Amino acid sequence: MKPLIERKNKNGFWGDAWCRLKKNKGAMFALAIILIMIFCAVFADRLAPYPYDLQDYNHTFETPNRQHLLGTDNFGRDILSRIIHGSRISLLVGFSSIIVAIILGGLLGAVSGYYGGRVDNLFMRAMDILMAIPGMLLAISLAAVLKPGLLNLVIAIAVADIPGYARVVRASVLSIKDQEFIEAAQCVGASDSRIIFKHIIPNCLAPIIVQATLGMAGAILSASSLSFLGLGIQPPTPEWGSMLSSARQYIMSYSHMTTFPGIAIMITIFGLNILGDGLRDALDPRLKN
Amino acid sequence: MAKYIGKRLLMMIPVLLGVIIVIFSIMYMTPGDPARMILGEAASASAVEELRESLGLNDSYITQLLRYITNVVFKFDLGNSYSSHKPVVDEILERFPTTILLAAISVTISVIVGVIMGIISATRQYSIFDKLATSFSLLGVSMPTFWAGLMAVIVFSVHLRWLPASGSYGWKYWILPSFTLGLSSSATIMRMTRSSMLEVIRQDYIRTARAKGQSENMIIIYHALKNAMIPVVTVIGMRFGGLLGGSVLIESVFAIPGLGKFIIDSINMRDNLVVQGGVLFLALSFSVCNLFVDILYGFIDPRIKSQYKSSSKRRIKKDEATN
Repeated sequence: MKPLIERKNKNGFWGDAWCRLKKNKGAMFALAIILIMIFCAVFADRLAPYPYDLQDYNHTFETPNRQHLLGTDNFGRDILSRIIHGSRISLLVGFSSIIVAIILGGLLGAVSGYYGGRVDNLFMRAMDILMAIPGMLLAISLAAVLKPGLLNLVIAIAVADIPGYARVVRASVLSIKDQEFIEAAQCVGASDSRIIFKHIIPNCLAPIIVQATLGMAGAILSASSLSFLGLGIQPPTPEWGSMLSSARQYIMSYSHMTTFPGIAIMITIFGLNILGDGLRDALDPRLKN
Repeated sequence: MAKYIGKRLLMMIPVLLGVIIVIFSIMYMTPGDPARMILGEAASASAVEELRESLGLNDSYITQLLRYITNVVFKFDLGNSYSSHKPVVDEILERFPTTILLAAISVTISVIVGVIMGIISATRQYSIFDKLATSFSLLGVSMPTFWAGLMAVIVFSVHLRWLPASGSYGWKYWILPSFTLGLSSSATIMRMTRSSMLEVIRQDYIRTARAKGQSENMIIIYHALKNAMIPVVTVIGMRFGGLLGGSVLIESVFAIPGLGKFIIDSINMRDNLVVQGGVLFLALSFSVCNLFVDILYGFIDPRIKSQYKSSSKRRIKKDEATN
């Protein structure tokens, strides 16, 4: 039997959003960039033409040529291979610091938005304090105190990002918590944690995803900045920021060493930014103008 | 209005106290012994112990924190640098004007470039200029500022030999850093101006202005721009704060003797009190900057001004009613 009313919304919220995203050429291009980056990071060992730490003292400071597509550095290491391996660190740091920041910030935001009152006041004042310190400076001072390394870099960047997520989640929780389905859940006796995790968080995922995509660009930028200052990943490990930091000494004579790692950072961040904008348009069509 | 400013100033006090506590606690966790730092590796254990005692480093965390807060708040004393032995406040004040000047020049550049490009893009939406400007701004947002600085050095100092690469010995040394910072933040301002202008241009009052036959330039400048500036001012304020934080990187790239480079050098020398004081100082300027932006709103946006007036009136009426 034919249904009386044809269902307009066949694919559900996420299916619709995906359809809208597919139509956005820029966002699909950005998604392709990000997927290629992830592919490079996962298969770095197979893709890189040379091992990232292979030193060849007969071929130092070579400009781009057939053997070394992007040239070699001061130890004769292949720059292309180091950039491909560097994508691992950058994506890993970007992704994990965003996850940490979302979990902590989201939890703080959800709790303070849901309960309101004193808890809200306390948490939000704490966030105000963290926000009063410019993010880069907070990350720098944390990175300076913790010893340089991958985990500590993630912590330093994540802490500086927490207030942003707490605010986004709190705002969406506030807009959701007075809706009827929450009241209904309360009426049937659902516990607070069930309401927060099963009803509220799934409904405010959209702004979190947008913020996370844009935030990952920021996190990769902070990671490379900290490494550039010597506070993040330390030299033998290939990381784009620390490659730039060591290339800097040779900027006067061998500028190719400085150019390519920066382009890698730029392409990644460019992709994440456009994808984030596209996701915002796709997930929240009201915002599009 | 005065009441609003006063209220905002009062609200800043607990936040700043919190900032002091956070920064002090972060620095407190730093591994390494400052007394050993001052005296050097060759000093005897007893001499180090004596210095620890006289610096108060053996006191508990709470005692040290309270002492630091009292010193900062009441005496404006941030302690003495471990390496130069001069007061940290003097060292900071010596370098702070450089950082502020750099931030001010860059913000000026970014506002001029960003707002003008944003207006042109919005008034000629989807034109070639708009497309070019939007793509450039997207690239600008994606570029790490320190790398943009390095590329500027490669182009203008290494290849063209027009400008000096680093140092600070005259106005020529300021061109590269301030334009790098300015142009990279103009991208954000341009995007904000464009979207805000696009929104305002579609409003009814703009149609009214057109209908009464006003010239297009008058409409853009007096009717649209004034209304579109409010979110732009927020972004400008945030950029200024971001520049204070970002000065750390660009000052390191161009070897400009400002507060940012001083902080990084002190981190490398493990000079904790300087790092602590420097970060605190920048956070304070950041808060003052945000306060200034909030106050500026009141002057730009009459709706906000009237809100404060009416709310204070309402409160007075309420007070009268309760009395």
